[in-house]
Amino acid sequence: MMGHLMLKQPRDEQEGLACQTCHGPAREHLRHPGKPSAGFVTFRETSFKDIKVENDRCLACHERGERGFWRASTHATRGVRCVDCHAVMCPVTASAVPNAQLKKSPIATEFVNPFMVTRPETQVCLRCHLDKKMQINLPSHMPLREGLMTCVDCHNPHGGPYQHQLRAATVNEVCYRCHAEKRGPFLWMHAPVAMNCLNCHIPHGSVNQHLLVINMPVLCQRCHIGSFHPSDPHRRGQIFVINQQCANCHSQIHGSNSPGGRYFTR
Amino acid sequence: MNLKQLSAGCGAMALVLSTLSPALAQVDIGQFTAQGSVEAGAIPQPVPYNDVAKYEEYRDLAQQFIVPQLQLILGDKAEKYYVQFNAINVAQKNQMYSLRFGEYGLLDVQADFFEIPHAFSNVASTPYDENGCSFTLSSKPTSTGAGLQSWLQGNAKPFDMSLLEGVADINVHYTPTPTLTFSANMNYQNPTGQQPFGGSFLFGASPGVYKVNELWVPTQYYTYNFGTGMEWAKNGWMVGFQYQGSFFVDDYSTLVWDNPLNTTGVGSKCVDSTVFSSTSLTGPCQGRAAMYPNNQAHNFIVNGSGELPFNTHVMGSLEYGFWLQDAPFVPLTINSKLTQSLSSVGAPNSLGGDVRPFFANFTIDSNPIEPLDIKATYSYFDYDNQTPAITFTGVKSLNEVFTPQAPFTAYPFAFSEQDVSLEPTYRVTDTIATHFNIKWQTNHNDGLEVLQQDQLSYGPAVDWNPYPWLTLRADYQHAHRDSPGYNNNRATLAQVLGGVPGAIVEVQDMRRFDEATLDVNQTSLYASAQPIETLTLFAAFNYDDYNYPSSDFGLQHTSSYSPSVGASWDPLPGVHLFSDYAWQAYDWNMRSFYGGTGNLTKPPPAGTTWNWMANGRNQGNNIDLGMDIAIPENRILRRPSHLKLQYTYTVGNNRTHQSGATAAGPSAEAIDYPNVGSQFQELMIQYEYDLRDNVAINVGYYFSHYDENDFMVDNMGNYMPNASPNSTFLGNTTIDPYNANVGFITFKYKF
Repeated sequence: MMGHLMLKQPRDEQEGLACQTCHGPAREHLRHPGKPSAGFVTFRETSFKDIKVENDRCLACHERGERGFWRASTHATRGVRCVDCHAVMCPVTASAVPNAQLKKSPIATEFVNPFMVTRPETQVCLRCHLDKKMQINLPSHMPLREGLMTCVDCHNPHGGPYQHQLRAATVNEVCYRCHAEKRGPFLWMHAPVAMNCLNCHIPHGSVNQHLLVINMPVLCQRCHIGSFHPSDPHRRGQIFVINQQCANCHSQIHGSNSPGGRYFTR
Repeated sequence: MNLKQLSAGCGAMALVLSTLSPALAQVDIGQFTAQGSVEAGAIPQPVPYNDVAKYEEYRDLAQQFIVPQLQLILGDKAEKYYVQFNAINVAQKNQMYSLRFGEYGLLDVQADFFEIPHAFSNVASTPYDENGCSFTLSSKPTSTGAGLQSWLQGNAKPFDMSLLEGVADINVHYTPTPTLTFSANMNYQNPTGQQPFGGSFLFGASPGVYKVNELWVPTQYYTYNFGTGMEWAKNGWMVGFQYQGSFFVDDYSTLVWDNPLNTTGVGSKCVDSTVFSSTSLTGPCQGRAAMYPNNQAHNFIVNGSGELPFNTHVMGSLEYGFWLQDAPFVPLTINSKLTQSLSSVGAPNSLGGDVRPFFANFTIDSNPIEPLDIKATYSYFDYDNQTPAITFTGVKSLNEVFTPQAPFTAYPFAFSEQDVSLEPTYRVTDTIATHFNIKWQTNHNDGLEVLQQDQLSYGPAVDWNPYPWLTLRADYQHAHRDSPGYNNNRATLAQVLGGVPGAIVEVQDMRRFDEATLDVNQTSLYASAQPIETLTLFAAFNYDDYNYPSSDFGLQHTSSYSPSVGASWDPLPGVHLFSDYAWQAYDWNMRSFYGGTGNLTKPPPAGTTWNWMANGRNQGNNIDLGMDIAIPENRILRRPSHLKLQYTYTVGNNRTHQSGATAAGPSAEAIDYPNVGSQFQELMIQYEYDLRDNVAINVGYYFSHYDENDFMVDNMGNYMPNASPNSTFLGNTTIDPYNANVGFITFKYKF
């Protein structure tokens, strides 16, 4: 994309500087290649001061849209460089299109077949977030491993005004983008559900069904004790421990709009 | 597909490909150029087992002809316009299509369509006949317990319990000048199929007589998300406006099912009764549940950022929304002997649900002197619930038997959260950056146990790049949440909620974990090293500890550890090897007590027979190994080829221990849950050999193994006649183990 604009179709004076738009003045560099020269950025810098300068070169044009809050992001604060994830200078053919040129992952093989679809958007993140790589391989997981979702569906790696670099103001709003049926508002609302889906679910993957933090009935018993059957520990002969467990009966646990659904059973 | 068919298909494809141009070159079409690739072939083997729910989860691996990838790139010779089309797994259940086109620097249009198959079970069965959302029985059992089980086994019919979700996206960006961008987006989601649902009858006082009819929900959801916006950016300043709308439509508003235990007759011959009897087999003829109601949301967003003196940037965001839901209520009961109109119990015909979420963020990032960077943020989120409270008076049908209920109220709770944080960063040297984060958060709640929670968190972090090839990061954070007045609000809450049992009888010493006083300690470490240019090593460790010091009952403590290591090595040109390992353990413990009759409002002292404890661990281990080797032409292989391999092994388990006894005697002794465990292995090997410059053959081998033991499913058969004498289950969660050894063969043509 940048090659096309700056070398072929510059829209303004800045883009017309071609390579120097990003790298800065090249005269000294051309005279003494390989030696540091004032204002010239190689995008291989490692000192924190230079990383900031380097990222500022990208932000000069890209500090907008999804990248408008980059300076406030955790990635920026912790010295992550744009080029850690993006391969800006990868080969660009005459017909290449403006895909985000993501770096190849060093910890995955690229497959595109019915068995396995490797998405670079996910693999780039998993290079550092290895614990999430483990979670998406657990029995209950979002379809990241299968390539039908990517990390950036929920997170904005460039930061934003929201917590955890999410794409919406709350965890629940992010979830509602695909699970809009649970948005309500319902007649009978289950407060921990409406406040934060993460009270019960682990979004990246779980050993428990339905991405649950821990298995029912204990999941529910974290709060529901002291009133008859929810307070019953596991004993032989209980229906709460089989199949959908507590949700065998409380099947509308995300909220019920039935006047008779006070206990989320209908 | 047999070997003959496969051979014939491969032969035909090879013949076609041999007639095409042997050279790899883009195609000129007047002022335009085209290049791309087509890959097609087959999965020759049939699916190995009947129960393939886990094997085919999110995938489509049936024996079939396949087109794994199709790519077309068009451009003009002046390099002004572009078109790219990508298709993956064409015509399969997990198909993905992407079309992107536009004019460089002016217009960008991206459209995607893909499908997500979600398999719950291939071995579920049910005695019900389903029509829309009406589930009917053509016969009924003559007794409960073993009789019901026998009837169930004789009448249950298998069916496929799965969902297929279609997702479409369109995103348009129009940039008439480098400073101005207009955008529009549309997202459409349509899950279709069947998903499990428990239809219960709660006869009598809680917990009733354990009557569950497991059904499936015929699912036909439609979600439409629309958005439009504009953004103006110049000289370090940016301002943008957006509207985001979302509409959810559910084709099915109610679910109605026959009660197999009312044996007075099937269909219209069934007679409702106000009295349930598990011996005379009377009760309501049907049950009914309200499905997810249609709803809509509208959000208006303003974003902005700008440059100030002293190398300072400000960023801000404001959002205001309307989340609305006003679907008609279903009647209180479907039992004709207990019918009451909504108006007779003081309820309207619909909720008038109205939530007005508001979000504001203001962030400032300043770098006034070179080594110092200061980031400060203020955020405010308000879940302003303006839904009216509804009080139901004189209801008599809550548990499907005649039991007059005290008035009760559906009370809309609300909450808000404010955060203020400050994070200075000081670059001690060019290679060491230190940070200190301090954050204060306060929540104000309405209709919850705790009306206000305050949390203070703080901690240091260090980033160190001692050498150009080494990066080290460490951080620690401590937080304390204070939840004053937990008990003070209980009486008020019980009054507000109009006597909801959960509020009235809640143990005084109980603390809900999401509202209780909390101490948090979190640490994370990360290291990445590249000692030689071809070798990268990395390691990480995360530790989270949550402690609830004021909670005598309820969740007491959780902690999570997750160390991970990885390496990638390119020993030779074109050879890439990698490996990584991660482990995670999540530990928890809680204290509870049995709240049987006579022991409702006051918890027993510790050590008495009413107390019981539970603790457990979720654990996962994952290892990946892989290689990617580009093999140049040599004496044996006359043309270049490419070998790729990846192996994944993941094992997960869940242990839950319980101890203590209830007052119900030795039979009520708390015992451990059986362990839950799973093992997953996956090996993918793919070899691509260039037959010609533009034709390649791909051969793939796939091995996968999965097994699990899960007490929820494994114990179900044994439990049904005893624990659940009045229930019918589909077995929807039954997942059989599998071993898959399959392969595929494809030809790829590039132009």
